[in-house]
Amino acid sequence: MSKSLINIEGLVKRFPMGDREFTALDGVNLTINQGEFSGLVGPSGSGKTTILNIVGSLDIPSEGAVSVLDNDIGSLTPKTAAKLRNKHIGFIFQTYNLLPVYTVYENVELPLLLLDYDKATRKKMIMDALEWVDLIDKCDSRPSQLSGGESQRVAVARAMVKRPEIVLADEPTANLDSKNSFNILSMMENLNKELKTTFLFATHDEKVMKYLKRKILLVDGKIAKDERIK
Amino acid sequence: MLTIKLAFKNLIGAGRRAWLNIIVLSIVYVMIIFMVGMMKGVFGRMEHETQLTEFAAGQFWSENYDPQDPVNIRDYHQSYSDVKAYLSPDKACQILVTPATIYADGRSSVALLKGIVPEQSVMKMETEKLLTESNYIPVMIGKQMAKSAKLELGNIITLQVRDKNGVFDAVDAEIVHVMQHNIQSVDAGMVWISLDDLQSLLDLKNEATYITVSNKFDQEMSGWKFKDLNFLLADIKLLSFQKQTGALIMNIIMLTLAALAIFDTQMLAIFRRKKEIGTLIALGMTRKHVKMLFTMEGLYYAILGIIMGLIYGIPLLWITSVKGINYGSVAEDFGMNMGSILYPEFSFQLFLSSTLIVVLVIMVVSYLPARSISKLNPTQVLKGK
Repeated sequence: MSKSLINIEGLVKRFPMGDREFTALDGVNLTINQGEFSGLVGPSGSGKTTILNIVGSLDIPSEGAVSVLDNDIGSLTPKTAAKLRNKHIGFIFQTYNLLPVYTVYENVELPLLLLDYDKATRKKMIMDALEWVDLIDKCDSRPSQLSGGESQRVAVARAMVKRPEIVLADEPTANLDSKNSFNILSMMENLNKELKTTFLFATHDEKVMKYLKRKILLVDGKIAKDERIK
Repeated sequence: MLTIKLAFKNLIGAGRRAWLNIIVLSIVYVMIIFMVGMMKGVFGRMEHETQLTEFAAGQFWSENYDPQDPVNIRDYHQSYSDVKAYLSPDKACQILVTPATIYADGRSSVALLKGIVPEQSVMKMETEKLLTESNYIPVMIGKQMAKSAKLELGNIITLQVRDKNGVFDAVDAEIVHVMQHNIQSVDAGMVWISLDDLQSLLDLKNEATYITVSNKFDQEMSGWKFKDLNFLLADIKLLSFQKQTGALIMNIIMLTLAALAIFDTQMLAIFRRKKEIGTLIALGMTRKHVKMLFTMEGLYYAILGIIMGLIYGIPLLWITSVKGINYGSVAEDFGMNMGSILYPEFSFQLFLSSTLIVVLVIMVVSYLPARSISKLNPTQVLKGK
């Protein structure tokens, strides 16, 4: 039986909105096991990204408990939260979020620099990651010289280079055409199979949904449906 | 170390705006050093030259002498008979001062007539020229006086004075020398004459207004008030302080403008690079780390600005300190004891203090905008909000 990496119990998240509060998540219970290729699906404003942010220790719950790799997100200090993200979690964003002044190689290198790997190890890991995404020939290019699909592949390499246990992908194909979306998703699916990395998506893109092995439907901050696809 | 590397890469990657800031800062840095060095050089030289030419090691003033009172100056003299034994051309030089009217080519002007021992070596003045053979009384003037009174070497002038009894007397004198230095306090409105000639004209045998002494002189002289260099150079020191304060204000303004440009760039960078800040946090940087990164980027402006400034500044400043800056006749109109060629003085301490000030100021203006990173919500900035 697979080990559970993410445990969410009674998660409530409220945001201040003027004088009132807006409840983005309302009593979410969820467990994600190691090696899952699952996605939070649902309409805009349903709370998908909020869950990703909390699981990624970028935000904290208003109520309830969220445990990621046995770390209680609510009680992490900024330093321990940064360490958790740095070591164990990879992020993929809708707008790629590559650093414009760095080359492809340097963008992928950044998480490894933060982890203090030596130069030779870094080089090997970066080349491996760029090979997974088939971008070795673009090592010295800058993000402005890449297409949308290539940029997202760099973002995948950056997320995967440190071999994290969890990858959180927020609408990773929203800015890509069908062909590129297909490439990216196939690539992530392969990495999930090869490296046993757990992927958690937030998406409302039908193309992504086709690849998911588990679809968690969120409506108005609550889980409406949790479906495993065989 | 990582922050240092990333900050450098970010700055270089920022392109033209970054280089513009670096160039401006380097100019400000060099200008600060130049202006301080210029003030130091000009006033240091002014003090030195004034001391050599006018005050030597100090002066003994007659009882009521007041150089600021030209109306009664003819009355400020006293006998030096009692101290005559101490006076010698290389140790102490007596000077008698009286107002006079000069007539030359139908023009008249008022001047101070100063009698001095021609053989003296206490002050750096070519007073031995007063021993020149002439059919008239030999006198000498400075180039400022020559210019303002339209006089030149070899001119015959008539000097009118009042002797000790108030009787007007007039004699013809020949200008035997025009001093070329720029010490206005022994030049403007002054005619120098042999002490013996002036004493004869005024019928003031063994009388002097003040006695200038060299550092070889170590006697007490009763009845004469000693004025040391601190007192005599007080006006120059005050002027120096005022001018240096003015220069300091200029420097502060220049540095503030450069700092504002960097502050503005940093503010804009934080605003424009919000998504990048969010990404760095998502990748595992703490906000403190990101804050340090942005502060470091700002600090690099200072470091690169200083390096750039040193590259072109050192040769430039070195040339100005060796060759000087020729202000030509403009310098004469400044009304200060300074030469037409001004030599700035630069020291290691000046470079060091200017460097530290620039680094400190830029570090502060880089840190201030970076503080706002603490307040940013990473989930919002990831979206660029």
